[in-house]
Amino acid sequence: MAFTELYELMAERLFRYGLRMLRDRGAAEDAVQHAFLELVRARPELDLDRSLEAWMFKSVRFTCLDEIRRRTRRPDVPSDQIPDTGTEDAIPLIDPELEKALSALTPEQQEVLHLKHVEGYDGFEIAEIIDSNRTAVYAMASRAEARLKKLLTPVESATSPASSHKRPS
Amino acid sequence: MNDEQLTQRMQAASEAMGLSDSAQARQLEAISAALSDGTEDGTVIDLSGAGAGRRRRFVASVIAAAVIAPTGLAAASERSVPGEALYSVKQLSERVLVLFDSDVIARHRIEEIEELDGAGRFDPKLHDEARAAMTELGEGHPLWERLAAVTGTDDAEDEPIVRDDDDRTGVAASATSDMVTLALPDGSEATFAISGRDLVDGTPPTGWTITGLDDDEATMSSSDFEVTVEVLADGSLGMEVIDRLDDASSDAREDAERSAVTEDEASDDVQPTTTSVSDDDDSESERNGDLGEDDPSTGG
Repeated sequence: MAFTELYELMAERLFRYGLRMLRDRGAAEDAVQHAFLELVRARPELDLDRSLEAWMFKSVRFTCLDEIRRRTRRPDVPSDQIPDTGTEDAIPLIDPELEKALSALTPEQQEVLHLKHVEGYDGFEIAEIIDSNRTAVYAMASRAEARLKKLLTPVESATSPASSHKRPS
Repeated sequence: MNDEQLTQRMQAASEAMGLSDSAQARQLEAISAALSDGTEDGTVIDLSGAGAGRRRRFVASVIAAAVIAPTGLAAASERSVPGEALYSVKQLSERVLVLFDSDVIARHRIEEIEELDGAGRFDPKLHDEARAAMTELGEGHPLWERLAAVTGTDDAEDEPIVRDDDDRTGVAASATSDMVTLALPDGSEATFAISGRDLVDGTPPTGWTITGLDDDEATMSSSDFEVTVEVLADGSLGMEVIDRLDDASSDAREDAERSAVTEDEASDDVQPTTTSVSDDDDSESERNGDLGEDDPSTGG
């Protein structure tokens, strides 16, 4: 595989993952860029027997976590100067209800759901990316899904004609 | 909502979350700036004004240039050789390419040796790098044969890869990637270590002294000879040998010949010139020949 193909395969996916975690396009772009730079720098130490894909997701994740920590350590900066998280233009609002429900979850829950439902990773792969174990990943995903469904249900009930027929009068 | 519906909904939402063309363009701009500054990857460049007045930082990276524009810099650098502007781009690209193609660095170095060899150039450093890359690949790798072919040896460690000979005195200079060896007229050998193009250390045999060691040039002297060897810009060896005895006898011969000519000229002004020029001087020989045909003293 040529590295051009790697970029084509990975850049968009890494960006979406970073954007899901940070909700800031610029910071997510930087995280993707940083991941490719890290790939260059880490080459001598890189264990190629392990998944390169997982390695790159981990790299983006570390950058995102650093950024999140950096934001939380800046109490002196007015909140309107901190890159917004959850602003309407950060993530295209194709599904505002979903975005609103997701923003009510913890960042960890959001990333696990993203890796599972968008990237299609299984529990073992997610555990590798987030440095956890499969059991913990399943538990976190399960809790996140339950909460998300609960948050989405009232919206669906209110907008779904089928649901409204079932609602007790 | 079941899991499948949740998956469909999350995937639909994420499809709108793509990297924009403008983001790629901004990165390329930063990369171009970094390259024009001669900086390498990892340089952080401030692009004031990018993104609605907010200061944005883009990490310049040659790899990004290569992957975003695969027909651009990376492709252009593919055929570059040491000394060319895009060679650094090629080397950076290799650091990523090697993740997917373990042979790439060794193969590139060998191709470059072939390319330079075709142009009559020799780069000792390139040979070192080729061997280092091959060592990483391990023994038995098929590229070893190709390396041996381009270096003209089966054992690239010890055999000379360039040489220069002085037929008159028998002095021969040869170089491997890390050493220049001088085979001297008395059968002894002197060696000089090479670093890049510079001769950095020398070991003279008995009866010889190093009378000059200056960057890419070294001079050795004995009572009879003075030998200067130089690593030229194209990587080849240049050599100058002064045979003091021979030169002294030549001087004596020339003096004697000059005296003889003077005497001849004094005794016979009509006689055309004869021996004051060397045999291998074509113009003089032709002139003599022409004169000879018309020279009444030579018959006809």
